[in-house]
Parts: sequence; C-alpha cells; structure tokens
Amino acid sequence: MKSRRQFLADSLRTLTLLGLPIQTATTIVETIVNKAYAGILDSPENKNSYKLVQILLESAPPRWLFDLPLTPNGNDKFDVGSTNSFGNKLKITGSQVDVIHSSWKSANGLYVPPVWSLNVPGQASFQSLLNHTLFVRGIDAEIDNHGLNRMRVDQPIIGGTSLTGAVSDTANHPIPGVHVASSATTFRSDKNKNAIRTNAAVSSSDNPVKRVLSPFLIGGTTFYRKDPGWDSAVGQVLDQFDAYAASIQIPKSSLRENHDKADALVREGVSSLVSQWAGVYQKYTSLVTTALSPAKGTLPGFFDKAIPVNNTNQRYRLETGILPAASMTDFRDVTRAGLTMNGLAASFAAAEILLTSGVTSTFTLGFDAVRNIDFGLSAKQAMTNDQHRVGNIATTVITTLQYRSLLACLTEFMETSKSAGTWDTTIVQIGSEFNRAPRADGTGSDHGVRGSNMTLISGMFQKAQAIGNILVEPPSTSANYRGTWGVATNYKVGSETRRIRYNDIARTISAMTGCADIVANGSSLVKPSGSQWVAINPEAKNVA
Amino acid sequence: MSPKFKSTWKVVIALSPFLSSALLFQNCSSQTQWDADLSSEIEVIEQEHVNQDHGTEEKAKRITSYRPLLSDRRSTDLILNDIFNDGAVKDLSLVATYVATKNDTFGTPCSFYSDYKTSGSARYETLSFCSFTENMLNAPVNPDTLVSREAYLAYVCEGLVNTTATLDTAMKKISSKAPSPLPAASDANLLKMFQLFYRAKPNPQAGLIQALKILFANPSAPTRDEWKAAFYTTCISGYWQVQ
Repeated sequence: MKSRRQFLADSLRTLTLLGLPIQTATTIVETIVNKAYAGILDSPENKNSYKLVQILLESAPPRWLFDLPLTPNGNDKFDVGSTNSFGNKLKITGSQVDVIHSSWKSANGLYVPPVWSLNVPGQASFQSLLNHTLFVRGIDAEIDNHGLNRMRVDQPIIGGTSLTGAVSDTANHPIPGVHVASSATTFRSDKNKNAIRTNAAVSSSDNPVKRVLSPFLIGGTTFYRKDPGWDSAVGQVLDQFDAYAASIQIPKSSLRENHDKADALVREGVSSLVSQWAGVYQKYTSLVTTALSPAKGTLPGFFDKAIPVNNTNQRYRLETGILPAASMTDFRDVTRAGLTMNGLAASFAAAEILLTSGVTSTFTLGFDAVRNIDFGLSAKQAMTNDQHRVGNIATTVITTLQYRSLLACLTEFMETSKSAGTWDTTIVQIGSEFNRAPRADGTGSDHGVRGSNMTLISGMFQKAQAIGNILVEPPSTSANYRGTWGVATNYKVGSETRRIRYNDIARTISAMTGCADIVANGSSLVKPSGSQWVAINPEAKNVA
Repeated sequence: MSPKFKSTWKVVIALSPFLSSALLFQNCSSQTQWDADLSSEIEVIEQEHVNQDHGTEEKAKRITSYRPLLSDRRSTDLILNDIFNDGAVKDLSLVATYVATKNDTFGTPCSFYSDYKTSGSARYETLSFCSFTENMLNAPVNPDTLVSREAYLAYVCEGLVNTTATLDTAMKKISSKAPSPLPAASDANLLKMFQLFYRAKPNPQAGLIQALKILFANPSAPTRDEWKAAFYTTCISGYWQVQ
C-alpha cells in the first residue's frame, strides 16, 4: 500500500500539471488529506482489530456474589454449610437475618447469582449482558499471593508477554494499551510497546482521556500547518527521507506511518474525543450512583425488607472491625450518605471513548472498594475488597451493590460497543487473585486459591454459558473455615483431565483473538461454531 | 463565501469524480519496500540446511527476526541537546519534559543506580528524569516505534525551531556567523544540517538535498522561516532515531 501522504503528494503534482494554480491545487488536496486522515482512528485495521478489556477485581472480593454460579443447572448438589456461613442473599425472619445461597434462573435457563436479576431502572436488563457471558468455574489459581496472582490474570507467566500486550501487537493503535488501576502494570508486548498508565482521577480540567491523549493535544500550532503550501512542501521532503532510508538499508519501519498518524491526530483527531468526556462520564456516574443507592422496598432479598441490626454481632462488621452504631435499626441505611466507588465511572467512560474510537485496543481497569458507608457513626466507612474480617451480612448487602454497579457499567459498555460496531471484536475478561474461603461463623473469609474463577464477556459469545467442575463439599482446612466455595476439580481440558488453570484462559483469549500464544501449556476452552464461540466441553458439574 | 473560495469549490466539484476514483484506488498503487508494511520486523533466513542423513530431503530454516534499534530517551535527549542547546542550561526543558522523562514512550527504564547520590545532594541522574513511578521502571529497553513517540517528537521539534535561541544555536553549527547573516541554503550547508541529525550514517543522495531546497524560495537568500522548515522537516523525518 502506498502511503496516503505519498499518494496525495503525487495528486498535488498531477493537479499542478493540469494547469491549476499551486494554491488551488493545494487547497483541494488538503481538503482530501484532512478527510483521509480523519479516518485513521476508524480505519479498518483499527476498527476490526480485537479489543481486550481487563477488569481486575483487585484484592479478591468474594465471587459467589457475582460471577461464580455454584449451581448453574439449578439442581446441582452443593454443600452451603450453615446459614451462618456465606451466601449471596438475605433471609429475614423477624429479627433473625440469615445469609443463604440462592440462584436466579435466567431467561436462557442458566442459574446465576441473584445480582444478575437486580437491573438498574432505565437501562437494558443484565440478562442482555448475560447472553454474551462465559463463566469459567473451577480454576486452580495455584499461587497464594495477591500481587503475583493479580499479575497472572494478564501475564500467566510472570514477567512474560501479557495478554494485553499480545492483543495489542495484532494491530497498530496510537496508544498500545491503557492501564487505569491501582495495581501494577502488567502490559508486556513482543514488539516492545508500552501501555500508558494513568489513574481515574477527574477534575473540571482533567480526566483520564485527556491524560492518555496528551501526546496529541500538544502542538498543532506550528507555522507549517497553517500554510498549506508549507505543509505540502514538508510532505514532499519527507518522501525523500523515506527514499534515503531505503537506500541505506534501514529495514521496513513504521516510523513514517506513525509520524503521519500522529500528525493527523494532532491536527484534528482527538479534540473531539476529549469533548465527549463530560457526557460519557456523566452517563456512567449516573448509573453507578443509581446502582449503589437502591430505593427501599426494591431488590428482593436485599432491599425489599428492613434489615434488623445487631450492633454486637460480628456478621455486621467491616474489615476494620467497626460495627454499626447502636442507633442504627435498619441496615439498608448504609446507603444514606450515598455510597461511592472511586474511579468506576471514570474508568468505564475512558474505556468506552478510547476503545470504540480506535485509540487503543486494550484497557485494564481496577475495581475499587465501596466508600462513604453510613454506619450511623461520625465518620463514613469503606468496604475493602480483601474481606478477611468482613461479616457476611455486610458483604452480602454492600458487595452485591458494588457488583450491581459493575454490571450496570458493563451493560452500558456493551450497548455502546454494539452501536459502535466493536462488540463482536471485544472481549471483557474479569479476574482476580483468587476466590475466598468463608469462615464457618460468617465473620470473614480468607484466600480461596483453589476455588478461583474467571469470566469472559464478548459479542463472540451468543449465549450464556458456565463451564468447569467444582466440589460439592469444599475441603475444609480447619473447623473455622468452610473451605473455598467453588473449589476446582477435574475437568476435561484439551486432551487432559485436570483442574483449569489461568494458562487455559490465556489460550482461550489467544484462540479468540488470534494473538500470539503467550503460555507454554494450556488449552483453549472454546471453539468457533458458525459465527460464535462455544465451550469445547460444556460440562459444569458439582462433584462429590 | 469569498469569490476565491467559490472558485476553489467549483474546481473541487468539477474534479471530484477524478479525485474520488483516485482515492478509491490509492491502495492499489504499486507496493514499495517502504510504506507497505506496518511491521517493524524483517525476517532473515540465516541458514538453509539440507539434512540427507535420514534419506529424505529435510530442509531446516533458521529464521532470525531483526528489528531496528531506536534511540532511547537518553540518546534522543542528548542528540537534540547537542544540536539545539548552547550550553546555557544543562538540558533543554522541552526535551527533558517530552523525551528524557517519557520512559514509557522513548524507552529505557530507570535504574536504581540513577538515583545514586554522587556528592551532597547531586544525583547522577536527576529525579526529574527518574521518578521511580511504575511506568518509569517498567519501560521497554528496546522500544518500538509508537504513534505517541512521533507526536512528542514533532512537538519537541516544533518547539525547538520556533524558539529563537535554540534555532540560532543550531544554525551556528552550520555557519558560525549565524543568525546574522543567515546561512545560505547551499548544498554544503544543507548537508551540514542533515549531518547534525543523521550521525554515523551515509550522506544522502542528491535528491534529498534538492528536495530540501524546495523549502527555500531563493536558496542564496534564505529567510528564517525557510530554515525553520528545513530544520523541522529533518527533525521529524525520524530515521535519525534508528541506531
């Protein structure tokens, strides 16, 4: 393919040969140049490339409240332990509050945690998102370490090429990857690209999109751009530098192509993206606020009835050990001050703008704790994701609302991606360090390494699927623990029968995107079937 | 709409069928070695080995991937300072801000030794170059070309040629009397300018020097803007970054 600039330079020369004055010819060509360059972000190369959104559930919040279907077929055996252990829904009898295990039967017959039924008013139902979801249960995370295992979601071989890097290497986006999370950047590319790391902070004059696009927001005022005659001449000289490079055997290089892209983005490509920020951010902020603050009387099993408070019962406590004030009589009042989740709306707004526009192909975002919790105390409280000492009543109410806000954002992101025509090439990967092992008395949970799970959501999936085998009765290491919920057991992976590993997830994403294989072993869990991808082994058993 | 623009648009409309067809077929034009491929790699077949031991002709090819090395943040910083810095400051702030501290874009991570205190509070490499943020530490050692890198480079080149002091410094390296008078845009002077950027590289063919001359209406009596354009174009040409 001849470069656009070369072609247009040739056109300019042709027009002058036709007898047109140089200024007229330049004006004509510049009009076309600008239109051609405006298409860089939505070029077929970028538009059709695969996109990977990684959502890191940092610090490993419990997954049975969200994307770990423990009884996906409805009639599966599962040892839920006592009602004082962990579950995903409240059962209120008089002043007694129990946490029980429950499943919601979705429209396609898959039984999933009840948060999937807690739609946000005015938005497409979560069922529409579920229709594109693959739950992978029964993953052995192998390592008991927050930092290392979080890295392995993206970088199964620690220090090796990452999924985000490999997916990015399949195209040539202006920004290879964007990382908006508190955890370490794991982006590693075989082409030595690098991701831009920023945070989700927003002010009236700054936001993540502006920061990521900053290379293209500077400049643009130079003399030559204001004068089409100069501009054309500079282009012709650059063509001669190309010829010089060829003559001295500098191998094929994207230096010039990248210069032309950068030039086009500086001229006109990104200011419109920055101007989208306010509206898109407001949209996600509104969704998160609504999802975190349900009206009393709504959300059956969570907010439909008053939740009696026992301010000496450790099942109400937060990680800090703080219990609700004695004056608090209805636990639903935790939302009185307006719960917040730092960065969730900003992260999704940035992801939507930067991915659907073609600025980048990979986006990593973190999942922050819930804040501004009103316990009737003078200071507002926070709910950490690392819930060692968080009581099961507190986590079932607050963490469910947290996941509800994530689902609201995901559903909106899906709808926008569909409108932009990018949903069928987008994979959302939701992962964390591990699942959790609940305490038998419901007063907290520890690391559940062998009971991990991962969720993939994509336009390439056209039905809800759950795969992976787990144990009916989790092995308990002590009387204090129920053991991990959803602990992995053997499953047929490729030609092997074993527990699923993070490597298999990596191979799955490599298969779906065609990106480089980044692990030494493992097998894809899905295969193409017509226009969609389906599980190779659709088994999701609870094994005694 | 001014009469001038009216007539321009008449021409645009009249020529639109020709131009539309030309745009449609631009990707069908002949493929050159150069601008065809976004890949930065070439594959070199190092050895072709015929194994006849097993009675079959088994060819084994060893393929080596080769990617051109680009100058990193420090070497790019040093070259630009060498051209445009008269020594009044240690580092030109524009270059420090958009090249030397952009580890994630121009490559070469910070080293913990960068923070080594040589004497008193002086540091071997100032913290402004290495703040030990994660991006700084994780930067690639051998960075690929990036669109953002070329954007930063263009901005820096633009700033350097638009600043009187830095452009004058660069022109003095062509003619010690510059900027008064400005050096003539002769073949020899344009070659000197070229060599400021393209170090340890072969001289260009005549076509490149002649192309640079089109930036000058009268090469023997150049204007400041014309030298700006020449320096700017050479600066953004980019291939000087290839090691």
